Amino acid sequence: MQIPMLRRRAGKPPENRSAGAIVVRRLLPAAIVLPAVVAAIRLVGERQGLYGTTVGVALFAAVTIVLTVVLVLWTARRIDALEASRAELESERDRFYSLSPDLLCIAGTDGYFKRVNPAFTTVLGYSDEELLSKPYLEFVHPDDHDATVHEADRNELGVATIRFENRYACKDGSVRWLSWRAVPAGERIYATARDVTELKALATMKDEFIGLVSHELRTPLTSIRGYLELVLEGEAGELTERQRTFLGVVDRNSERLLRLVGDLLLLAQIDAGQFSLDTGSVELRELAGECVEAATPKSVELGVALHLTAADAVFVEADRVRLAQVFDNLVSNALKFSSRGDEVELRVGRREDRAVIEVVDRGVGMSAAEQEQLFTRFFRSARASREAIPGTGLGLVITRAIVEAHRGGIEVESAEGVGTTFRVEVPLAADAVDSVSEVAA
Amino acid sequence: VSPAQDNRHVVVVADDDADIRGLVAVQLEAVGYEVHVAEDGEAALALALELRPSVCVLDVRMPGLSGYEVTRALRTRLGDAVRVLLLSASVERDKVHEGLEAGADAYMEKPFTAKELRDRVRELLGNREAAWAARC
Repeated sequence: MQIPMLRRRAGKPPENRSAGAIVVRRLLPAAIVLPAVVAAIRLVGERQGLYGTTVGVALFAAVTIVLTVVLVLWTARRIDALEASRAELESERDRFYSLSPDLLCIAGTDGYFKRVNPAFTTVLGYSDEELLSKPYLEFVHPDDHDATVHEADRNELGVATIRFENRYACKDGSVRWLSWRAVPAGERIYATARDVTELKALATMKDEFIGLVSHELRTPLTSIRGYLELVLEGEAGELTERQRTFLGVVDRNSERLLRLVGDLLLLAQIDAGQFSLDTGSVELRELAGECVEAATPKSVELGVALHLTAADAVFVEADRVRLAQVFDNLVSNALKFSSRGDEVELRVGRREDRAVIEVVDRGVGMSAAEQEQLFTRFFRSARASREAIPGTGLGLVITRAIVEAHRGGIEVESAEGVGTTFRVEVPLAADAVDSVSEVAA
Repeated sequence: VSPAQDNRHVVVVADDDADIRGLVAVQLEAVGYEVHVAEDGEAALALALELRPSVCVLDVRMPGLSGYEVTRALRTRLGDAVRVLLLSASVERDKVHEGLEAGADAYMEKPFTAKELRDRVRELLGNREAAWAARC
């Protein structure tokens, strides 16, 4: 209580408003100074013969009593005002405490809840008395006991909980998933929990949906494309030129559908945080060569020359299938947005500890506004829409996600009428970086 | 009687989808394999134990015994005398590892082309012959 007083003397604004501090601050100086000053005045009066000893004592007592009563009343009013504001704060806090749909509680390091808000009863079905009467661990699902004990031990050591999920058994026998945040303070742990049961169920549904779409769309597509291939192979007899042309249309469009299904599934996986890489050592010059070979029929059809420039082998630690998808997406875009007679160049090289892949076209280019939106889902450039260039607006979104999953980056440089360059950088494989520095040394 | 007597490799194909089953059968018969089909895991296992095929092409997701379960049973009963190729329409790559852990020799995602299927089966038979040669 002395510390706030000292602080006050040091000229700091009043911070501690405890009742004790107010009493001490107001009454203690008065208790010392008041009798001393009044007694001194009485003595001076007596010596100058203004009044006798009897009157002097009576005056001393009367003045001291009046001043003390005034001081006490003044202090009491301050304390009343303080308590009123404190009660106001408490009722504000209690209103939020009751209003919160999230579970709020204070738990002791002895393993018991000390206070719980009404959301506990709403979510779990137990009354306050039931919740406070048993160790909280008894409400936790048995499979989550160990993890919960471990987390509580961490809290006891002073570590705050940012996110911890466990299951609680409700009074009606059902189970709810709770996601916790907690901060320890001495013997107490202040914690909030959110009921994430529905979110968990939604995440599971989304996973199941991905699985279902994946299976239910790809299985019929397998049949369509497989039998079509057999017919085109002549397995069901010779085809006329007209039949072959028509079946070619079926083939192209079923392939397009398949690609779309693949893109949507990949996006769903990325959104669900299930996108994972199957990494190994990949040599980019070879991979780029395969990509150019695969794209050559298309480039011939469009009348666009496609070149690969790659001086040395470049090794990266990567997911070969996904990285091939990056090459394919960028090269196929460059071809689509070039005109007959144009050139597209695929360059593979390295800069410091990174592999650099560039796809350069001398096509129509893009405005700055379009470049900004390039990586937005379902975005199509004005030209793509106007000239009905096939595409879904998902390719670059997926390309970027794949590059970023490889701890790399993608950027674009474009000028209208000049062309566009996409540049992808990914880290070199660790041993490839070493061999470079050895050469440099 | 060894089914391989006439030098034609026997392949057992199992998929609960009749179209896919037929497709795989035609794709392989067209290049000379003797193909037998089964519509679920139990039938595939029974057929494989009876015919002792060189290769089994199994769909992962089938009612009753799954492709993984049939693979495990085949490994227990026939050892490495049979090559197993799993087919799946799933895009989850965990499945690949799960299949290989069950003892499959290869894994292919649907859809696949006739060429991919035939190449894969040929590779598996090459491995099988190499394995036999190494043992002799």
